[in-house]
Amino acid sequence: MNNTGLLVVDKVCKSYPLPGGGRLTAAEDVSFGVAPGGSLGIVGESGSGKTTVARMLVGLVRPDSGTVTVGGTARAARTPGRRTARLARAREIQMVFQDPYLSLDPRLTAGQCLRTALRLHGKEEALAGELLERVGLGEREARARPRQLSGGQRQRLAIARALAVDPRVLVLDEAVAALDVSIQAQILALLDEIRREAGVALVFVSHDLAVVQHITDDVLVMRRGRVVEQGPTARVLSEPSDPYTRLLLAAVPREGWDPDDAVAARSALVEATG
Amino acid sequence: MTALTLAPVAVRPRRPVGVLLAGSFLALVALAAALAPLLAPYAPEAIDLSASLAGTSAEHLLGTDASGQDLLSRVLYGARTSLIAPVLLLAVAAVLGVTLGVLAAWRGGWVDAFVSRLTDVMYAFPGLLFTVLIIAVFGTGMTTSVLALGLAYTPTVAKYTRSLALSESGKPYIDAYRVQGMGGARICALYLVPNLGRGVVGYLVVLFGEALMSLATLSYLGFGAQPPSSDWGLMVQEGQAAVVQSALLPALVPGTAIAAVVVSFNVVGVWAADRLGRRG
Amino acid sequence: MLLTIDRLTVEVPGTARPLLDEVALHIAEGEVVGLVGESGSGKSTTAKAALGLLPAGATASGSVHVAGADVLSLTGEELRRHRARTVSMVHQDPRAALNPVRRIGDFLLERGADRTRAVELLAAVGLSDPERRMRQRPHELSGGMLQRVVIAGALATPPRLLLADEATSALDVTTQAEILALLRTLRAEHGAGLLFITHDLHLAAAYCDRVYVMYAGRVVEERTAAALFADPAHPYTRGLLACSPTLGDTPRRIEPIPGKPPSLSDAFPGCPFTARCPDAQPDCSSRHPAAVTLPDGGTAACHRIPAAVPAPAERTAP
Repeated sequence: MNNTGLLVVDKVCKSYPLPGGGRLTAAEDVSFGVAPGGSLGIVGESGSGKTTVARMLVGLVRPDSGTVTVGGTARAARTPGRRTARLARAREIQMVFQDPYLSLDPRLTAGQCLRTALRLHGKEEALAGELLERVGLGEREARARPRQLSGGQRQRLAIARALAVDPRVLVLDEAVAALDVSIQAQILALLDEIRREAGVALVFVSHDLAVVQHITDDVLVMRRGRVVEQGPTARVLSEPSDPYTRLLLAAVPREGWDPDDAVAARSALVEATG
Repeated sequence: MTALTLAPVAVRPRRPVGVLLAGSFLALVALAAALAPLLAPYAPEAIDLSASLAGTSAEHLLGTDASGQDLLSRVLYGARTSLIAPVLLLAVAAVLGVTLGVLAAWRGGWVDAFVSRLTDVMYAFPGLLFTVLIIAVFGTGMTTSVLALGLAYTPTVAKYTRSLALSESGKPYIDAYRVQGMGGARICALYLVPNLGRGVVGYLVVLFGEALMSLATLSYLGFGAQPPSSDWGLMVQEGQAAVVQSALLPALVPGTAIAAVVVSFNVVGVWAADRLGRRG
Repeated sequence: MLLTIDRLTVEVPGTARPLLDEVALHIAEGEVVGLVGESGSGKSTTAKAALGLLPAGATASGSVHVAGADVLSLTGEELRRHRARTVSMVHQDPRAALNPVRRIGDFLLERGADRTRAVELLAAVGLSDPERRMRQRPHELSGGMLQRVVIAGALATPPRLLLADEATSALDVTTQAEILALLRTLRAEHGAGLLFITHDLHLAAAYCDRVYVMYAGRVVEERTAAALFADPAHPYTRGLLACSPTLGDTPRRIEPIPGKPPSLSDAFPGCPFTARCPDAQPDCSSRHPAAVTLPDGGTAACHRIPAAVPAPAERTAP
């Protein structure tokens, strides 16, 4: 799956200096590719480096080494100073953040939020109405500020804002984690639709294996900054080869599940790998 | 089956009586300053040497000073400079302080280090000394005093803004603007600063009383407002000589005005900053 | 019966509907009971009522009994003892329960454990190097470790009833599993009852003996966990199951429930789920459905379920 497709990530690394000396490896040699309209999941627990990878994709974190290529063009490690270059870069990859409240400017109404993005990219401001409609928001919501919207409505708006730029890749960082189950399902359906209709490639960062199985074709399992397993989602989640993937699967509650199984799997893993 | 009602607990903190009192007093002072030409019985600079150091009477409700100028009229007109000058001063400090604070928070690295050291150095100087230094170079007068004090207040505003901007610029909505491809200057000016507004304004309200006091001090020392202005600080200085002639009113009237307004502003300021801070 | 909540209605001024509307719920000793619902459904309010804790300015009718005591009429020292000894609550954010400037050891000693016992407790909840932990402060520990500390605190004076309000929702799945295994030992060793509040239907079904499903301040279905999964009766429960993605060999389509969870400004003369319900009939929105007893002993409140026997308001006496 590597080196083919729309988004190609090749051996990106990122580490941070620790206060007591030494370095914390947030991501090491992470490589993957996503085809147009494809969907890749990045799973792992807190501290696994999955969010760092997401932020490196959009340029919020600068990789120490490695490259991110979209449509054959490598993205510069630094945000370009020139306006046109910056906007062109933004049209490659957009992002939806975890917290739908903090990721929206509290002062702007939904309509203003979208018009700001459209204006920046020299698009018709009238498109804001269409975008809102596309994510299932109406006239009333267009005039509302984030605090007047529900969690699900906010996340729809955040998705609409990302789509306003007309990106080729959409990165979602725990984008449905904070939502109620029924709303989460609505957002997942919306993402599925966007992917099928606009051919936008999704990178779906999540700790929730069930959601990842539902929405992705390929998956990357990360632990402590390293990719421990990657491949087609169906294969990885049904016949995991890495003990850590097996642990993650054992920890997911389901019918007939016993938390002690997960505890045993964890001890086995700790004994095997430390 | 049990039925019970718990005593309702106030969800919003009530506006204390003190704040209400102080607020209405300030509103009254502002109104009086605005309507000074209508309310004042005399022109503020009208000299009547025959009525020098008169006590309270029907003609002069608050008495007169050594030159026989009506103190009520002077204090009413003086309210104008005494209220407007701190606003201008704080405006200068706000523009400079917010710019520096946001710059330091946004750029980080050496810019932050430079701005922080600069504000630290300015902090090390006593504010008044710094101001007097500037006045010594550029000459006395109200304009110089306002600008000099504006500069003296800049570091504290900058420091406060920097800490607000640091936490605000870490929020994902600012990341979202960057991901959209928006430039840093535009994000700061159009989206970051307006979201700091509440916090900064609350802080400035608290600083107002202090700023008024500093200006009055400069005028008292003879660096600020110059005669025949009716600035309160200047009036206190002029009235001081009369104290030895056992006429207390010329110093007491403007002095009380300063004290009452400063205390009221502090009461209202702390309450407002608290509210603005909590909401923002 | 350890906990019996009977027709509990809690109202606060300024809302269009009650926070809780005739909620009936019971927990036997040693039983793990799940409470499932979306935000604003009244899960936390129900749990807090067992502590005798109602929202500010609330009016309550109905009753809450824990181990025979009428909780809503407890005051002063009795109420304090009730909250300290009989019932314990573990929240989603352990930091809210811990004083940031005090040491972990102090937290446990305050709860009536002596030093030796405190170290034992920390070891029992799976914290490594318990002696050192005793001297640490909350900021030195991760969220999962702090949640273990809070649970150790709850074990210091084993409560008869433990309320876990989304206690594992913020944790990684592997840590969640460990905390859940731990909570289960509390039941095994002390016979404590557990009220397990979660938004995750699959977690509730996998971990609990019985599950209550709440919607808009009402209990809409109460079943054994197995029955809830195999044969959900209420359309809302069915909707929740159909819209939660599950791990499995055969990926199935998820069917979102349209609309959004009701807020406190929505009032419902009839069934609150009508607007989002695929089976709604015109009369659903005009009258409240009564809970009917299902053949397997569970209950569900839906007009579309043939009312064989209307459920008695209180099925079990304390």
